[in-house]
Amino acid sequence: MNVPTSAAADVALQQGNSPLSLPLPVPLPLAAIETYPVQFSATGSEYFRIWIVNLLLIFVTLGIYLPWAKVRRIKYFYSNTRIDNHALDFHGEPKKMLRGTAIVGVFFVVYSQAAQIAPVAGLVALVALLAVWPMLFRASMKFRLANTSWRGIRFRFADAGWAEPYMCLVPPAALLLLPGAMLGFADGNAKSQSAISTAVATGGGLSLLALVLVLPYFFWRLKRYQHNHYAWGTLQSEYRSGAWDTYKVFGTTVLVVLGLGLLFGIAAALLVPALFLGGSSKPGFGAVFALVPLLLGLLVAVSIAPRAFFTARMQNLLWSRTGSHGFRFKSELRARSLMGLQFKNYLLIMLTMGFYWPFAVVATKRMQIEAMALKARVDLDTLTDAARARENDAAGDMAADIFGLDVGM
Amino acid sequence: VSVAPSHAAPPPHAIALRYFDGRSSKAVPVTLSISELFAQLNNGLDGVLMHKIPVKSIRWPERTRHGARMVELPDGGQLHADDPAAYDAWAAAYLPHAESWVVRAQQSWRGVLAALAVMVCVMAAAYQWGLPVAARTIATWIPLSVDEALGRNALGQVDGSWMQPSQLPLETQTRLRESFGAAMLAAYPQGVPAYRLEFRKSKIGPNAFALPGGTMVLTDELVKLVNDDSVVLGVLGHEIGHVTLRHGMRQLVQLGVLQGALSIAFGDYGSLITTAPLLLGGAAYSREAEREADAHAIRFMQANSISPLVMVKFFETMRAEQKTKSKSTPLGISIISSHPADEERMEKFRQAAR
Repeated sequence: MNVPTSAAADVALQQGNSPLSLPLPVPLPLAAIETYPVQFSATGSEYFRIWIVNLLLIFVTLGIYLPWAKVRRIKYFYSNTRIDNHALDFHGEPKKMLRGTAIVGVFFVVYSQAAQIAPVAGLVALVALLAVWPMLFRASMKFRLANTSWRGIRFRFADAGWAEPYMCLVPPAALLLLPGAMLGFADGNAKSQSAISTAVATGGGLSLLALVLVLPYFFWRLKRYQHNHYAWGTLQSEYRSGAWDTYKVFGTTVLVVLGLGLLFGIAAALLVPALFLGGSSKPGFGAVFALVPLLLGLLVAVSIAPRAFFTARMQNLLWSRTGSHGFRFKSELRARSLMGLQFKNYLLIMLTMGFYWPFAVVATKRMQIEAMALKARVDLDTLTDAARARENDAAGDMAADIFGLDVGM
Repeated sequence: VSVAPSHAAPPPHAIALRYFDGRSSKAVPVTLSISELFAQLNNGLDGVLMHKIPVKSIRWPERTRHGARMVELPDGGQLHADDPAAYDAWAAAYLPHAESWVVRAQQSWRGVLAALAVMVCVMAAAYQWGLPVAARTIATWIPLSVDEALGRNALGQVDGSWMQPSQLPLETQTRLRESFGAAMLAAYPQGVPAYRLEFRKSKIGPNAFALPGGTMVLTDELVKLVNDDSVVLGVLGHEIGHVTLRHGMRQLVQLGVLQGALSIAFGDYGSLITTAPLLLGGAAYSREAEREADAHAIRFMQANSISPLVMVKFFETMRAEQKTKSKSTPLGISIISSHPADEERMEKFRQAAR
């Protein structure tokens, strides 16, 4: 990081003295801590309008319009995200992003079809994915940040090199995907080599077990990789949280799943016999309609609620521990509020056959973004961009979207 | 393009903005005006001319109901408007280019409703005609060896899970193979397509299905149940229809395209929402494929002088079998079933027999 790091600077900082007397590469005048809430002004109805027109253009152009639609969407959300009354802006150019879309699209199609054609092809595609994915991930981080600005200054993703994304992503991805591919492979040759296939199956089971145990660790490493390298002007963020905190979030999420699953189980045990064994042997329409809330309850218990809980707790942990000497973030998102919102979102999306979707996206973003605040003790008016680095690889950015890894900023 | 500073009062059509040079986080008050095809930037405090930039090299912000207006200058500088409405009015009056029709459509409910109407039509047409045609075309680009690999893979999985080696007497198998071979010659005088007929004992009762690449599987249970070679030939005529029309590959391509379209539309909202339309869409296409295969079976039987009524008999036998094995299914919702209703299919065969 570039802001004062030495112990002396820390002392000076705590005493409220100006660190200007110290020989520092970039002197930063320190002020009292100011809190800047993050404001979000997008609305569901406006995003609905943007979404519909974008969607039409994507379909009639057979997908070529995709990057233009994406830029318009990102620009809309950025220009409605204000910190200290300055909005974010996105500078990506659709024409350049089109190439990235094409590359990733082809890669994705090949990958998703390979395993169906032949188990060996699936294995090869998997290895190729593992080799390329971290590169795309890193490129996408760099692209997204280099094309995001606040107060006229571009962000940077200031990481050290290729090794770290590979260390974070390859082991868990391999643990997750290899058993499936190996089982498919063994299945194809099952007749001749049943002993081998049993061995592979056992190995697959073991590696899945290992994945469950080490997943929080690699998740933490990945988040640390991201949050350690956000840079803006002379500031660079650090992630000040150990792996144990991430394990705690995963652990409480598992408890939530178990608790809700138990509640659901009790409810189902009470409801189902009453509905189906109540006299007539033939289930009537009433029973079938009663199944709907039951299924909805199952959905809430196993998917919607735990995911919202995890998102909220993780956002709070991630952003409240991201910062540096001059600044830090604060996130106070209530898990219960987000769970309620997501339940409402899914219900309304189903009832409106998908048309509520843009309203749901905006409502979720609003809740997540407005829970955040920036706390700074540097004068935000006096920062300069030393590097002005530009990185332009759109392939990574589009990859992040398709593989579901978009930067959560 | 920077020019030498000169003290000149900003023109009357200038708008006050905040300028960031891209290096410093401190905003400088400026005024922006357009003269000819150049944007002119004057210091807001003393009126000194700071920049003169071609209008075309600037990325101008689009109008939205909410959100900031930020002008991107070619050298990395930015202009921010405090009052979006004032900026929009200024841009409409003085910028030499018109607003894009995309923005106009997005900012009017009438435009959005028109777009929605067009999209519903486009999607319906794409779903009804475009996707099947596209799938057929794309399938012709994919070599048959891919179908064969898919079929081998599928057969391997089927054998591993719910099929066992056939226990039919070898004579029965040979008899059926030979009569089907002869029927194929009669139905395809110009050349018999590649196929493979497999017999299996199944754990799921009487069934027959075709895999991509030409492998057809007939279960012992089906052969025993119908106990009539001409019915078996009718069923195989249906299955060979799936094979020659490459339904397996087409289905795969269609589902892939449909999945892609849905994930574009509902990108960041999980797979829960997109699963239902995918299942429904897949089922509808599968029903269409069954109708095509039935039509094929009719031609196949007619070429072999078999009455299409044997298929009516087949459906009735299957129904009786299902009645004895399990109680009736609670709800016969045809929209989520992968085959059309039996009545509809039987009617087609009866018509063909007339």
